[in-house]
Amino acid sequence: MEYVPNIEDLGRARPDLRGLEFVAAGGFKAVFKASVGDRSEAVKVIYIPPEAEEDSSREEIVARVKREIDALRLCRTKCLVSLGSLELQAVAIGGRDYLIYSEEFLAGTSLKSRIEGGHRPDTAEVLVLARCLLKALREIERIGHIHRDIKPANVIALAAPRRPFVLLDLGIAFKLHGTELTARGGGPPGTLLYMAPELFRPDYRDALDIRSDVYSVGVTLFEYAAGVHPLARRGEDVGTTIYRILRQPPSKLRDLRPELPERLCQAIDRCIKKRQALRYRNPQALLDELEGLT
Amino acid sequence: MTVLAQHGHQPTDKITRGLKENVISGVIFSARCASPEKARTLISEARLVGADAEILLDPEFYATRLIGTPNCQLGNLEGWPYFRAQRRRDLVKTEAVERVLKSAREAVSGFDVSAHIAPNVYIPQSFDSMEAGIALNFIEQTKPIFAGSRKLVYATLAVDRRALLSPEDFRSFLNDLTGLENPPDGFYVLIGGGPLAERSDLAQSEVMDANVIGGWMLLNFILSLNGFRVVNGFTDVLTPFLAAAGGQACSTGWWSNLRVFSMGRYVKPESGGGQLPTIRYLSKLLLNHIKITERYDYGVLVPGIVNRLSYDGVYDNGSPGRTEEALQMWEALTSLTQEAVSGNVENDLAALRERVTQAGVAYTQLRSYGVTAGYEITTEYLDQLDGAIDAFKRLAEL
Repeated sequence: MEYVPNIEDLGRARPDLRGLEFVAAGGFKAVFKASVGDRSEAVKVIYIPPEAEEDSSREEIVARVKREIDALRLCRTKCLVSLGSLELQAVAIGGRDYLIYSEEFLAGTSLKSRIEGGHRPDTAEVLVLARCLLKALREIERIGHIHRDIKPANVIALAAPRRPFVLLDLGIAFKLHGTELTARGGGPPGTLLYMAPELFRPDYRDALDIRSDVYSVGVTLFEYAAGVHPLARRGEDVGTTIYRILRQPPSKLRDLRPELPERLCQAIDRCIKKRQALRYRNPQALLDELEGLT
Repeated sequence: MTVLAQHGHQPTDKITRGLKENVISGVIFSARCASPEKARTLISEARLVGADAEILLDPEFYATRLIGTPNCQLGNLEGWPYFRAQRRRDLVKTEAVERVLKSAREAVSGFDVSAHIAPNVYIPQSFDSMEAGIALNFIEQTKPIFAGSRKLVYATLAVDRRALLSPEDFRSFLNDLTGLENPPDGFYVLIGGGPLAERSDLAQSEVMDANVIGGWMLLNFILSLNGFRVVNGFTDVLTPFLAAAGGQACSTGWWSNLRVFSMGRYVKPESGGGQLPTIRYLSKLLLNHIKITERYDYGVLVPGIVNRLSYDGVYDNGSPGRTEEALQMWEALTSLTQEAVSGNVENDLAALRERVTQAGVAYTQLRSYGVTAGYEITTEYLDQLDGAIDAFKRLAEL
């Protein structure tokens, strides 16, 4: 990942960022932990490839980052990550162009790590996670966006009872009314394993609505509760996984976690229906369904 | 699930007796069969008999597409202020749709209905059509326009059977329908498919097709899953199937053209009428309407063919009248649905499949006694009903 800036170069370019530590990288984005003023924050550094050398144009990348920041600024829930103190700026690091801004730093574990570690949540924990994700999604819906990349790697479990789970990364969030269709060539609009079937269609933008996120929430909840993905099998090729997502019925959560309440299992299973119209019409409908479950 | 009467010509005392004797839970009046004044009176009379009855009025706006065609028979429809010919290219404009909805709302204002049924166009062939777009626009504007009426409002969804046979367009339409931001409280669903022969019943109509019925069930399932009340018109023996899929009300009338919906009902038949149809008996076991003579003959051979419900007495004592024929049908449909539908979709589908099997067994028994006339034709609908359960399960991802 040569686009990830060298930590020393980053420190030289931004001496105001102290105690830099590399956290993670993916896509064109790298995340570092740093002290910004007196706060520990997650500094996001986004590589902007030179024009015509990559399939994403500079304008699209800049627009996407601005969209993410604008969306986060509008959201008012502790179930979503919040912005840090570093405003969006362009910066040259080691002769390359980057954008840089910060979010709050969340000291926790991703759901992905927990799943890989064999964590087996009880009913109460699955319900807390479901409510957190749905409240985050309800807020994203309120501001007229869809997230498009809800997955275990983008959910952080914190050791704070008042803020147990936080959804991250609105990097590919889509504003339902007004976002230009990007020219990004052929890439999937999300992370394949968590993408709703309709997003595999060439005309997916016509079908795009909050129910695509409801699907991803369902897959995330299923995988966290069961320890396995409802459709994909370990080690299989991408084509087979896509076929399963498009054609095959998913496993039933109740078969894998019979001790969980039937209503909860059925609710999560319903999120993973292939037809959008069979899923909950919005996050609130699922929150209502979970009402009273403990 | 409730069984309603589908109002039509020559209602006589069928509806009032049906309400009084509790074999129906309500009625869907027809604007075609009653002028605005008459409809107001009919609704008030029905309300007097059934204070809690579900009383609705179908504005039948979808029949405007036949205005001006030769041999159209629109009855009282042209006396309703909203019932005016509209050019399709005008109806793509929201203002035109709003005008129709407002006119319909004003026409029924003050009617003592349980909920209003809003007008809509007919989707003739495909959900990927201009009419489907217009229909969605009607549905989207329904709630805001009727908001001041202080009653629930149901959008009409009148669709030709052929539209249900194109899965991709159907899927897209359902996504759009359930994604509307300000939807109505419910839907009045009509699936159109002409009878194959004059005065034939649903069992021998174009609707009796596994994929059509499966699609109709899916429509009920998805709409109810999304929190809408679903009232189906012209359902006849499909009533328990639609109820199992989530439909809350089904409506059936006394003539064969009130048991299966067809746009052909707004066109005069070439034969020009003639003899009244034979009085029939709805056998719960056979899931079919049989002739009175068949009831007597078959009932001796396979006793289960006779329902043994309260209106059987009328048939036991000779030839019933038209009113008793209707009351018997509603009683049998209500009983059949109550027995087969519990609210658990998987269990109900299994129960319905068993019902279809038992109907087939009964026909097989009849054949073993030498009753072979038209066996294949008579039992074809059972194959379609059986296939409909499979089609629905596949479509609904059950």
